[in-house]
Amino acid sequence: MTVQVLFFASLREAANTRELQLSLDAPLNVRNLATRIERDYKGLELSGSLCAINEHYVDPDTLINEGDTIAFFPPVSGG
Amino acid sequence: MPDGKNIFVVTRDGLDIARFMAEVSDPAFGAVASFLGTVRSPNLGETVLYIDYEGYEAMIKTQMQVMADELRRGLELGHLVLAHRLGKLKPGEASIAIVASSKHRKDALLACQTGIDRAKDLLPVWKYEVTEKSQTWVKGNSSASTPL
Repeated sequence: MTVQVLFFASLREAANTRELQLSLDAPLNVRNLATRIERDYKGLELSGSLCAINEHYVDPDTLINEGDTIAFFPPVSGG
Repeated sequence: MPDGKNIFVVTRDGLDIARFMAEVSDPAFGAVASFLGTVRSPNLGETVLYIDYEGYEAMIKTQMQVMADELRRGLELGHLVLAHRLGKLKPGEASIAIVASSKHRKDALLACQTGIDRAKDLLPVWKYEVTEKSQTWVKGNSSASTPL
């Protein structure tokens, strides 16, 4: 399956990119994806970050589906 | 009584509070309340030069809808504006606005109080604070979901 991955704030800086397109073997959850990204992007530490799929917050054990947009970002500090 | 409308704003321009007040004002609703969050300086003893707000714009609007649905479940609201500004803001400039109308004052006032708390939990926005001595990402809040 193909998915889009987005990074924001300090994770965007660490990844040196805002966006990736990845081809993945299903089934895969958010935690599995984070492990794979950390393996491929040395220096990018996703522990402690939040995740959203298709603009809604999800827990790390949420399964990923074809076409999903998965965003990783630090705890939020808006307002 | 008219149906309440929601207006969600994500912008790099200044927040137009007068326009927001006009948007929620309605003869059917006798109370209008507003909350503005502004850039504070000094912060933690340091003079702030500016804060650069980064946001995930599409998700901000999705989460504003989540916020509005929550607020309307608990309160009897008229019209509601939720607005967040992104980009570089100087001390004193408004970064967030919550403006609500309701038939009676309590609901509009509570919408502002509960709304700013939920905005700080839910809106995917990050502050990069630049002071006279340092520049850093401001430590955030992870209560929206279980972190990795």
